[in-house]
Amino acid sequence: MAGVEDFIRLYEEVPGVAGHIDVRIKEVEGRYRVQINITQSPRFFEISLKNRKVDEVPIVTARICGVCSMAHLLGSIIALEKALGIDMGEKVMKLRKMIEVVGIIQNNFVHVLVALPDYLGYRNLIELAKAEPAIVKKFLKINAEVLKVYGNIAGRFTHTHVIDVAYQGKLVTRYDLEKASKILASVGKEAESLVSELASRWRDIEFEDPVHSYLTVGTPDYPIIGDEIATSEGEVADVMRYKEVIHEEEVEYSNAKHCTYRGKPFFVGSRARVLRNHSDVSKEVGDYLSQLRLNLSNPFDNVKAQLIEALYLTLVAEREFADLASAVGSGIRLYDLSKLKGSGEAASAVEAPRGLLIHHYSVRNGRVVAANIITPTAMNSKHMEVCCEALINKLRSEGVSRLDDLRAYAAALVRSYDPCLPCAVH
Amino acid sequence: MKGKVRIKVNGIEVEVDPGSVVLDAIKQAGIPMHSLCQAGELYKGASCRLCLVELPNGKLVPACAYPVSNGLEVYTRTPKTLKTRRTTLELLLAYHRIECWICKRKGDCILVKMANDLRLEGIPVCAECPLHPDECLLNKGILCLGLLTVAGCDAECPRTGGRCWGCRGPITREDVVVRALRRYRELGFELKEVAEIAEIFWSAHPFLEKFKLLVEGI
Repeated sequence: MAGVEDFIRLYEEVPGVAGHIDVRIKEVEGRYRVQINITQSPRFFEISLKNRKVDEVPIVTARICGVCSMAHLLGSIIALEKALGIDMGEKVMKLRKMIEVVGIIQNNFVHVLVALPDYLGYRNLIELAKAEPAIVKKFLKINAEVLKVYGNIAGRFTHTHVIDVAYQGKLVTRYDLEKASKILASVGKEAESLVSELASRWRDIEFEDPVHSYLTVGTPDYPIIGDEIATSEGEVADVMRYKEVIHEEEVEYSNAKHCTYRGKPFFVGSRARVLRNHSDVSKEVGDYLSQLRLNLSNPFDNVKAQLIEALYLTLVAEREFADLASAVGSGIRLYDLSKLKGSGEAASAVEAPRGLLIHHYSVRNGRVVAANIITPTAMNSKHMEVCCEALINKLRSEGVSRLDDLRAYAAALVRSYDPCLPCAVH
Repeated sequence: MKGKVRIKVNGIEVEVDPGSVVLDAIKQAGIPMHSLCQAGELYKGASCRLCLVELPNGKLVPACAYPVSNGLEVYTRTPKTLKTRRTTLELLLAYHRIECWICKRKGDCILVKMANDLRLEGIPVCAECPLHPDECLLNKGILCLGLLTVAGCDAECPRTGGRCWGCRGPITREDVVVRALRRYRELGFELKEVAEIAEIFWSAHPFLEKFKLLVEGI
């Protein structure tokens, strides 16, 4: 691997992220160059999906990641159902969307907690927990409550088994949905007080995006599950055209591919989603937006965006669960295994907690012939690198030259993207 | 108290009527105990040997037949008793015709509860699955791997509406596997498909090769 050895390793393992990633820098003509190397080893999921029967695919893809297993599960299910022409009806789709929303809420709260020491002036989570156990306990309590919702509507949180292609196995009753709504109502109250408490103490890290370009799922309402990809340039493309929008290329030093849109790096995730649907969010939680001083052109503020998004989605999900509860009648349970032998090709776009996730399958006689998965962290990786380079050079021009300081900032930046490395390499 | 006998179970003092057996005292003390007395006529005359308890002198006696006497001390969960019970249950299971998927005790099986407690494997998930044999997912055309998978998960997936994917690993007793495979075929499933699904979680299990041979041979 030429060109890798002469880089200095700023970080061997960035702490506080899921998986292995290191940051390397090198001085070239008075400027630092940065490489972000995703050293997590790939597991070749796309190949192992080949020749599998369609109903076995979600159980495998869910294992790509333990944190966002639900996004991978839903992404593959929706793509395969589209390919086979299966319509599960409005209620099931609404339920699936709500399951994904709960997943985003849970992930965001947990990640905000993991990244919080950077913004409250602590070195790590252990120090934060020692100094301010009340805050950590609040986050953990919220997490436990949200996981209860999962138990009610999706069996369990990690690698759930009750949803499959053309299969909604768990009977979700009105009682379950009402309970979910109630739990989210209490979580919403706790989260509101938590946001106000954190807003007064949040120490901002000033920085501007060098490249401000993002992608989300294209839906008229808050982007969660859709058939289109929307870009910051206003382009809306059908998800089947994802290869025209997202250009993937391999780099020699990283196990994850780098993605660009029209030759430019782009970001996905909470910040992109809040940017995309800013008006709805500010209508619902406008007070907290201004309290937190959310600056969406600052990559570090992705953590704030996650907090705001979690709060917003909690408030929305509470209402939507109540709506769904009044519409379900005798409960949702459905399966139709007659169409599983069909053929077709389709792609799906789902918002994983970390951002846009694309699953693409072609199926022949009920078996997968080809699969392609593009994960949010792979999309973010180029943007992360460009931002990190800009940040380190900015710090250098401001006179920060100690390697330890640069290290802390670089780690905080990487963490703010909420990267999921097992997903990135899959 | 007059007319009562005092004995010690695991150090807890219990008073029982004279003429009763140690098992009564254990039950009265509220200590969980392995036994097959529930199976009625099957194991008469202290023959199942699962309720062996240890006396202070190291002797093992069956609690269901040993009469109580004043000052008696017994211990229910010593390494010696557990080891003996484990072997006993293993031998009992070897003789048991495991066909849990059509068993009427399915979902409320004493054997699987004891086996889990004694860390003994070899009973299929069906034993813990609460679905009635008529409600079995296989009858609905859903390929569930519970028949071939080791129990111990409390059948979490079938219980909440999913199907078993075999994540706890295969049962390695050939007669059970053969009977299960026959059942799959009886219900109209392709055995090749069963083997394919089995490969998802068992790809690294040493039994997989043997399993494939069994699938071919049937």
